[in-house]
Parts: sequence; C-alpha cells; structure tokens
Amino acid sequence: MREGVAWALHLFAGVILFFLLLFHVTQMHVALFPGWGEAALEWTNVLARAGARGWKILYLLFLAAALYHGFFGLRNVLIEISFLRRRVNEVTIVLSALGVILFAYGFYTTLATPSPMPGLP
Amino acid sequence: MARNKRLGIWGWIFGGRHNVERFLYTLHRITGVALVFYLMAHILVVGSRAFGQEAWENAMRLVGAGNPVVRVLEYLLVIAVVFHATNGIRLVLGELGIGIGRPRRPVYPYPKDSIRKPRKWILVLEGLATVYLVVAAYFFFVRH
Repeated sequence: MREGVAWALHLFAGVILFFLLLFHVTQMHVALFPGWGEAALEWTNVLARAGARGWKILYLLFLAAALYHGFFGLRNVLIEISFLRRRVNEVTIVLSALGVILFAYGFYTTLATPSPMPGLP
Repeated sequence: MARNKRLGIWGWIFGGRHNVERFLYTLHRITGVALVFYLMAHILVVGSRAFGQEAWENAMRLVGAGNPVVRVLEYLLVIAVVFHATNGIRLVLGELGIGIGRPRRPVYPYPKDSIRKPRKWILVLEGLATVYLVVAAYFFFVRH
C-alpha cells in the first residue's frame, strides 16, 4: 500500500475511533443509563450485547479501526528509533502479522459468543 | 540540523521549539503507544467472553474489576483516551486545513492568525475534554 493511502486510512480510522471510542468508554465507565457503568460488565449485559447483530457489526468495525490506527501509529513511532529506521519493511511485516492475529482472535470472540438470552433484543 | 535528524524518538523532548504544540505532540505519542499496548491486552481479556460466564468472571477477577486501585488506573486510561481522541481530531482538522486560516506569504509584518487560529482548536477540544473528564470523575468515584 502506498504511504499516502496508508496515512489517509490512518486519519479516517482515527475519526471513526473518535466517535466509537468515546461512546465505548462512556458506556463502560459512566453510568448515565441502566446497564451502563459497572453494570455493563455484568454477564447478562455482556451476553445481551454479544448476541445482538448491531453490536457485533459495531464491535467488528471498532476492532478493525482500532487495530489499524493503533498499529500504523506504533509503526510510525518505531521507525523513528535509530536502529529500526533502516528496518521499515520488517517492522511493517511484524506489526501487520500481529494485527491480523489479534483481529482474527477478536473476530472469533465476536462471532463465537453464545446466542442472546430469550426475551432480550 | 543533521544532529536533529538523528535524534529519533529523543526528538520528542530534545527537538527544540518547546511550545504548546510540541508538548501536545509528545503527549499524543506517549498516550498513543500506551493505548496500543492496552488494546492488545484488552482484546485478549475481552476474548474470555467467548468461553462462557465462568471464564468471563474469572477474567474480570484477574484484572481486578471493581477494585479501587484499578478504578483509579481505569480513570487514568480514560484521561489518555480522551486526550488522544480530542488532540487527534485537532490534528485531523489541521491536516485537512479546516479552521487554520488561509495560507499567506511569510512576509513581514507576519499575520497574527498563523499561530492563533489553529490554537483555538486546542482551547475548544481540550476544554471539552476537561468537561468530559470532570463528569466522568463524578461517575467513577462518587456515583458508580
């Protein structure tokens, strides 16, 4: 991928993350609504989100944007380190492989979760 | 100049021009690296939900969910997230040339808005971040 395209995707993923991440952090830590804050970590609420198609799509988008933005950013930092400056390809390959493995695991987690409980949306 | 090019990541601190943008640049990179490592751990911990209720509850016990010290660490994480997100939006706006004034020739007397216009985004976005963090602190430490 050309560097300019990769950079533009990094910015685009960053804008997506701005909205998704702030929503996620608020839902997980700020108890504005029932089921938010500490209650969001209770198994019934975890299961309810994990079983809903909308949440699955949102989590997969979130996962892809976070991993791409994060690992491209980390790559840009690592290739500033003097002994890695001449190893751009190696750094890119290692981080891409790590990103793909984590995405595969996250993808499995998102799709392998049990079906929603009866009565939940 | 040649020496500055060899600074690498030390240039975050020793690269000169210690203005507010340099301070934000360094913080953006430090929070970014920290968040990538957190993301990797987060994906592995949250993955436990695929293995059922017991695995999920064990994972939550392992990371100390509900522990007051962990709560403080989580709040520090939220500070890093909110700062990185708002400062990142400022960088995207700057990259796209939004709200930073029209380009002009650098001829004396220099236009006053060349530095001030981009800085309004710092005030607006970090102001919003501060309001969010104060509200979040209430929910973290008072009404959780």
